[in-house]
Amino acid sequence: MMTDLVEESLARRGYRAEALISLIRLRWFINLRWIMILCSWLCVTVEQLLNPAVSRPAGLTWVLVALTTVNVLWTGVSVGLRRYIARVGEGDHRALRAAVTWANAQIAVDLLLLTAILRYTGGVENPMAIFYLFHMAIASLLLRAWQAILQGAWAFALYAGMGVGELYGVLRPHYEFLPSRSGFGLYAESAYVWAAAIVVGCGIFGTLYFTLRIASRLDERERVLRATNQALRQSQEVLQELQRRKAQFMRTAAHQLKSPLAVIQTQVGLIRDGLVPKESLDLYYDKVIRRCREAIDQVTDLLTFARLQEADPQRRSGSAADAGKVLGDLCERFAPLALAKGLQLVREIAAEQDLMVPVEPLDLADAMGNLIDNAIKYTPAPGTVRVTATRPADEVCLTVEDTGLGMPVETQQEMFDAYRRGRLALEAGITGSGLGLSIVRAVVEQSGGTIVVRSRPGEGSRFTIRIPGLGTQSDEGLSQKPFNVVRIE
Amino acid sequence: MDAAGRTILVIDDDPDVHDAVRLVLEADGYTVEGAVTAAAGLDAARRLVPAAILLDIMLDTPMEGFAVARALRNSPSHANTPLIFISSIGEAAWREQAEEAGFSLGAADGFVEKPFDAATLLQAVRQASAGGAKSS
Repeated sequence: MMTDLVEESLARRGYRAEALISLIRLRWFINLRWIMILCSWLCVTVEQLLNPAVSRPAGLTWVLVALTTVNVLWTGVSVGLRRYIARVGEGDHRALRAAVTWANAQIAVDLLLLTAILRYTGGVENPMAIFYLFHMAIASLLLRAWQAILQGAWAFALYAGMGVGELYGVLRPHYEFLPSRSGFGLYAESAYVWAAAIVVGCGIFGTLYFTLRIASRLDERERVLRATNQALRQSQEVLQELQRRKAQFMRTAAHQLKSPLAVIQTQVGLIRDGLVPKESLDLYYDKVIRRCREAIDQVTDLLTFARLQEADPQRRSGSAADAGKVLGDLCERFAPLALAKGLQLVREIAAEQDLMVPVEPLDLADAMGNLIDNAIKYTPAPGTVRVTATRPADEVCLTVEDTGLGMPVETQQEMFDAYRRGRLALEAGITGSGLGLSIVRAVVEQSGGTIVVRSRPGEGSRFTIRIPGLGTQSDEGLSQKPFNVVRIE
Repeated sequence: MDAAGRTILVIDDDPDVHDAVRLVLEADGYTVEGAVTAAAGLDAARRLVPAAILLDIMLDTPMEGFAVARALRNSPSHANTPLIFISSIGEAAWREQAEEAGFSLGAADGFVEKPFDAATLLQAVRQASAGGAKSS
């Protein structure tokens, strides 16, 4: 099978590669010629049987013998050529060159032998001149345009040469189309001969013109079909990849959800079996409650993530949230948690500025809530979590900064993928759904914003989110934002 | 059996699993050490030379457990350490993922599915410790 790439490369060079290779593989020309030779011999024989008085010139027999011999020769060449192409490969340029040369040679020799048959069967009076057109159609379909036109010129030269040669007595004698009847002598009529030459010439070049035009349009359609096919194939690959990632996500999500449940069952089993010492029972009950909460958080985050994934990309056009109010509410909500952990939760919200952003308030609260929750979780006491909201120019800038564990640079980008948790977080035994930063990214992506991460292990992290202000120019052009909204500093 | 010969290493990203394993195995005379990341687990394995290793599949990345297992089996000092996988993915998925990760299950000595009960865990550890490890 020829590869699409090879076919495309050949098509660009003006060849119909498939047809050329089929020509060799299927011996299409040769088989057609055998039929034609058989018919010719049959016609001559039947004519002799029906009318023994008819005498065809010996030249005709020799031409038919030559045609038969040539086809035997072509059969041999085709066998050799098939072996050669099998050796060098169908896509090899030498295979193509051999196929083209062979097609050209066959057409040229066929035209010569057709003219010879015409010469011995009435010359310009023989209507078999129509077979020139058949060859022209084949030439224009198989060869490059200039090669087909050269074949057309060759056909016209042969036909006109024969007619004019007979007209002026250079080719003598003239053989009648129907030897049993006296001819009309049209071959000697100058006007007729020139008219026949012009008609056949027009037929030859007209056939070439129309076939080349039609072939060119078909080629164009084929190119479009090929491109569409390619695009469909790529879409299919993308869909398959999406499907694979979705399955992977579901597998991971199920595992993440099963983990706290499995621990709960194990712990309850150990309590039931009396393996937990009485003095540790409260600790284990707390663990069970904590893991139940974790499972619930998992489900909540999964639902949030699913809601964001399903969200209509256009819905943000009507969305509006006051980032200052959202952050203020979140700080109120997380203040007791920070206090209990011995952390200082500092809020710096530029209340006098317009902090409206084109985001659903719930989405913004989910994203910023995850960042604040992470900052508190990953910051050991005594430490500080700072939440700020400002509006420099057209953008609203929201930051959550902590003095916590920080993240190694090499894992910062990956942290935004679902269920990727940092080594430092795992080592510190901090639990999490693994979806928090994915939710942050999804919200920021949908709002046309960007996330800048600055984090160093042991020094803390700073997440800066920039979202176009509501009704600004950058808000209008959100769809042109780059896909990857996360930048690591 | 000396103390080192009774040490079981748990490599699992969930500290509660370490606690549960510790509770079960320490009652049977084992000493349990835990690691929550692949790097910490490999480091602990080198340091402790445990009698058996309980290894989770999903650590920092979804199939990192197999990479840890391969690293252990490629290390001369742990080529024969009994290795028991412990995961909530189920045995069928474990086999499937091992194939996907190019890890020969012949190199593992057992599989314990989470949630587990004390008897199942004890039996797996005793069996693996008694039988010795399969080479990769």
